[in-house]
Amino acid sequence: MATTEGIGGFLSVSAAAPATYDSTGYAALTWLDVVKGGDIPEYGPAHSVVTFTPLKTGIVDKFHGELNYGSFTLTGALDSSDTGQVALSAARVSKDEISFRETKSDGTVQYFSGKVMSFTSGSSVGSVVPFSAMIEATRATVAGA
Amino acid sequence: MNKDKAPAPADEKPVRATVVTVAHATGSNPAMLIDGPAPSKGDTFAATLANGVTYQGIVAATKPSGGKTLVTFANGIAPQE
Repeated sequence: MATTEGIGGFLSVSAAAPATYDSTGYAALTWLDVVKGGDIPEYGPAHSVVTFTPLKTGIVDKFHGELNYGSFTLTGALDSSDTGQVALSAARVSKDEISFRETKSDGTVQYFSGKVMSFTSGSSVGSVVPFSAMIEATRATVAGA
Repeated sequence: MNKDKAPAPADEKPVRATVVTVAHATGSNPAMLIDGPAPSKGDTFAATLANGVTYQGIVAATKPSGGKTLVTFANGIAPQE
């Protein structure tokens, strides 16, 4: 995708798992948008670093270690009529792996699967009542067709 | 009235379709683009997508789209069991 503004992007959720973990399998799902989402932080796969330093050279050698598909905390304005938020909260309770779709402002999409580890809310003066949902990705991101 | 179609004969190739996303105010539903005759509203329609999986759903509506037929579904689509 070309450089673009973030406004217009949004996250969608589906309580179902795709039949196949590719763009077609994800596209065949029915999706609920998190309409009142406010920010989608960066997320993606990252390896831990495994190192070994030979006594003979003293130079640190580095290797790709375990792979973590990453996590992020989606924030927004709490709204019980936002069916996307309802689905996020339900996924925290069920502990199920669910499906996610991120739509960029230019219309491109990417999919992944993950689990909702928390869904919290609070109140303060000078802001809308917020929510935060911590999402742990459990599978690789897949670009939409 | 639901007019379920009889299973296709074993030697008949399943209908192939392209999945497309139809957005609405709070989400989106999957739909299919197909060649050939349009199914009727209320039919249970099945087609095989690019991932090799055959999905089915109850037809909500059909309309021409770029020389093909866009089939939308009442309650999404699911893999055929």
